[in-house]
Amino acid sequence: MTIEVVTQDGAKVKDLAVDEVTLPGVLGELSILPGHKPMIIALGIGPMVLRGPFGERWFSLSGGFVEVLGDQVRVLSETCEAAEEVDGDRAKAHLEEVTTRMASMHPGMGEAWKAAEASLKKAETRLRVAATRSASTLH
Amino acid sequence: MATLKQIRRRLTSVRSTQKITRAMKLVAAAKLRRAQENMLRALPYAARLRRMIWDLSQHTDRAMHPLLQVREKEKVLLLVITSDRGLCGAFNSNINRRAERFLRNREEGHREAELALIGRKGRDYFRRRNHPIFQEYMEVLSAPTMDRVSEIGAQVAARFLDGGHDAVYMVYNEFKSAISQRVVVERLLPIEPEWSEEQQQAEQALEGLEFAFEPSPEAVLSAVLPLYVNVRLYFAVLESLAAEMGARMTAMESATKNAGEMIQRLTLQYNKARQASITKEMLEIVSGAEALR
Repeated sequence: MTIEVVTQDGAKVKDLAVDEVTLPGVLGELSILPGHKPMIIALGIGPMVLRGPFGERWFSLSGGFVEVLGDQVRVLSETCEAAEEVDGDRAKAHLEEVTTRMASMHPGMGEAWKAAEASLKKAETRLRVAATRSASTLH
Repeated sequence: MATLKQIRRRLTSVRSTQKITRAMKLVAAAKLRRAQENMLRALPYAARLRRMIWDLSQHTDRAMHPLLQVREKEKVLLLVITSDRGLCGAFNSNINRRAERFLRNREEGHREAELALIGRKGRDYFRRRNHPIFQEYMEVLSAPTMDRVSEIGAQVAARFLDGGHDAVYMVYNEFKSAISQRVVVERLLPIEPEWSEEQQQAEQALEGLEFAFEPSPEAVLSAVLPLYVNVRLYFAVLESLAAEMGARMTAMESATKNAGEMIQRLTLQYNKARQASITKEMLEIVSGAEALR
């Protein structure tokens, strides 16, 4: 099974052979194994994990879709950052900033609240993804 | 006949103009490269999205989403993409003329049309002609981002959905190569699922396969379609920018060449005039000496 990840900034992963893909679906995390039936699924914010002969690779993903067709997995996302690309310090600063901002907000604020929630989730995901990098360097 | 001083002054001025046009050509070439890179980066995304919409349209009911529905064309919107700056040959006038023709001939069988303008040149042109303008979007071309274009896309789509416009077209310069542009008119809304020959073949192999959609086909469609509108619009802006830089490069190249020819001609004229005045002075001296004898 091969995977391709495309964002507005171009292809982030190109025809990489994988054994398993874990993605953040809007209805919850989902894992795709070879031989999956065809589907198109909307994606939320969260980590994407690729497992294969190369081991495990983590990415921070936000929004978009995945199309599974035959042995092809095609991900279309707004943003996709590999663990190596994530700036951990910046993500941490961003998380703190969003948290303080949200302290003075409440869910009744509609769009603004939703946007803040999304940035919170993005920051958390990026931190989580960045953490996998430091874990692997420890080994 | 122009005096030596006059010719010299003109030469200096043409030379400095040539310096400017040459610099502008180089700047346009550099910007063209950047614009092309931007286009290349966005290309796979747009292609994938188009493919996904085609797959979706094959497995869902077309009437399911309003952005796909074709309506009677009462009032349409024409999005005109020009440039912010001039000195790029016929780039803008081609677009403006084409847009004008679209409006005059009611090419799409519509009754009324409004304009949405991206780029100062188109705005200036149509403001003077008092065409009904729906929106002007400036400050897009200087730094086109998906975010900014998405705002435009959202606004245009919202107007389409509430029935204000029954169809949306865009007219822009397609980037063929660095030296050639082509004016195209394309329909943005309602969305027409497109597919290429090879996709169609791939599709045949998959016939009969059932797709699963999550959360639901409707939900996926209503997330994909607005995105597709934005991406197409974004891509049109990127193409237009690349085409503009190409057009400017060509225009400045020929301006530089023309200036070169003019410099040659003026230099020749200058030398002739100089020689003539030397000859004249010589004659005066000789004839003066003759008279003294």
